[in-house]
Amino acid sequence: MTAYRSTETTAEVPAQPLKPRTHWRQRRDLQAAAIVPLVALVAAVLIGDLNAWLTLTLAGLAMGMMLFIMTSGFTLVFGLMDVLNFGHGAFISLGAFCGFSVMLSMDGWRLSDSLWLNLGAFGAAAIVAMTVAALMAWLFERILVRRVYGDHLMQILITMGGLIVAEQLIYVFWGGHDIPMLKPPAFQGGVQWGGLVFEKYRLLAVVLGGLLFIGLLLVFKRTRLGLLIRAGVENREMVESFGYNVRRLFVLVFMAGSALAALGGIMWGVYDEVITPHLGQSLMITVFIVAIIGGLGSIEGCFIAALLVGLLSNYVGFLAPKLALVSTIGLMVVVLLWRPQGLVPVSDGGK
Amino acid sequence: MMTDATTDARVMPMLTLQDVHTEVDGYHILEGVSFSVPRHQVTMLLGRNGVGKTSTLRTIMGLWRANRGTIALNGENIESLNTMNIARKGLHYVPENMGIFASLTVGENLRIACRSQRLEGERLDWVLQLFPALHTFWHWPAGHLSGGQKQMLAIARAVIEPCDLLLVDEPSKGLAPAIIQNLIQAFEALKSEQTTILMVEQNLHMAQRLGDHLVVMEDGRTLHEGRMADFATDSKRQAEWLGLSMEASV
Repeated sequence: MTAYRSTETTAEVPAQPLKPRTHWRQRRDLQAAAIVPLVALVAAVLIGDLNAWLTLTLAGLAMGMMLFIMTSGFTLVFGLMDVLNFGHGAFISLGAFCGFSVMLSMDGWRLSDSLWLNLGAFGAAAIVAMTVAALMAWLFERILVRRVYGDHLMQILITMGGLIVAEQLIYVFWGGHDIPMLKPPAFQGGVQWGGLVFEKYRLLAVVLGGLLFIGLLLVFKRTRLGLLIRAGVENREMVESFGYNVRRLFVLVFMAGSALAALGGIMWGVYDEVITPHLGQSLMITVFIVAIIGGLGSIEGCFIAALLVGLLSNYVGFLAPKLALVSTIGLMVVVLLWRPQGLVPVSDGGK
Repeated sequence: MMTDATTDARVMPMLTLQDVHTEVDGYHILEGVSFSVPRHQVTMLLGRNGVGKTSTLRTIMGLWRANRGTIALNGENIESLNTMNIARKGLHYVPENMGIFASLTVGENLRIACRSQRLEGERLDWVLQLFPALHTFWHWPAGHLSGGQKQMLAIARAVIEPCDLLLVDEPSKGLAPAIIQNLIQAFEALKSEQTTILMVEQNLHMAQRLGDHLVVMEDGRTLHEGRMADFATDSKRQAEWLGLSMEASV
């Protein structure tokens, strides 16, 4: 028999609603988030050199932010419509190539010494790339994804096919060779602070990623659109039963997620100073792992997992270079043994 | 108490199902369901486990598509509409698992249910008066509520906007008797507001207290349709159709 609470029967209502009691045990997101500083702390002890540790941590955070930007769309598309979109990588490549084309055509701004002109070129590239990616995503959804709802195997096959086609289209338009491009002058080098050196572009990536995460959280927690997405991730049928157009909501998320993938693609390309047509394909595996570690469909989990993957691969790459390749997979194995649904599992309706 | 005038055949029913067949993954789930839901009354859909009661509600709501037959709301066919449009026609649904958004707060759950207007005003006051616990736990994640509170939230969501027809699937399932009493009071308040309700219920005491109209199903078909009052006194038929008697479950 369930516990009987008097507030259910009587009309005696407290004047003010009760504050929620959040137990540490119930806050899976906070528990997971606590692992990030823990990993950094352990790494600091193991590395023992403050300057090296700071450099690695900043590099790891920057990589994590870029991974987060790329993965957020993938994880939401799965959460909302149960669609595994392995074609997500196509938008990473597409974004990188469109962005590079725009930046290479704006030499005046790109090569200027002014930070603001550099940022202007970068911003213009981002806007063009994100717009193109969003439009392509709309087509991609109409032509491919819409036909394979509810069938994961078909989704993986057809979206993988879409990824290959998209890659070949990049060959057609941009040729098969790599495109090198040095970072704009204001993004090069580092800033000194009390004897410590911080690489400028990494700082930029961390700031941009952090702002995007906060922005996304605000949309999710404060707007009706965000409320509907969160509800839809938990129980799509029920959102439809309230008369909402979940299909339209999904197309919107699909387009926004692909635009973010494109942004991640440019940021990654500028960081590496070179892009290749199979950039998206090679990053797709990491994106998938980040989404799994975070818990498919969870935006907070995705953020935490991306930071963990970024930090860990940098630390391990420094401490034990031979293990660098398996560090990400190892992290996934450990996390899934602990929480099979990922770090921040999406609720199944409170059952 | 309902008067006989409301069961008058001249009044058009709110909802009419005509020979509805539903197939899910190749299995015949419904094989000829026909009944009507009279306006401003509570219709109870009864039957043993697995006879297709929940499937009937899902088919009405468009969550499963009817392969054959017609479903008419206020005389207009809705069987080919999708769930979104059926909901917009004024059908509200409380599923068997309640469909609570567990990670959203109680307030957010209600905000989603309020599609066409802001969540405020008399209607909200009325719902919170009906279910005071929802006011108390307004800022809590709905997943932290007790089973009874979740059910109240589910019903509150369904009635926060006025609806033509409320579909409720086994509201008493898994709840303690004292909480079921609460639920009955809440539904009686909804009844007094002239809400039309179609309810699946296993708890015969609750079905008898609230029901005006009665539909009994067996093996995916409608077996009987009539007045609840006649059925309540007919223990032979109760035993025959449901395998239990009303007195036993009180």
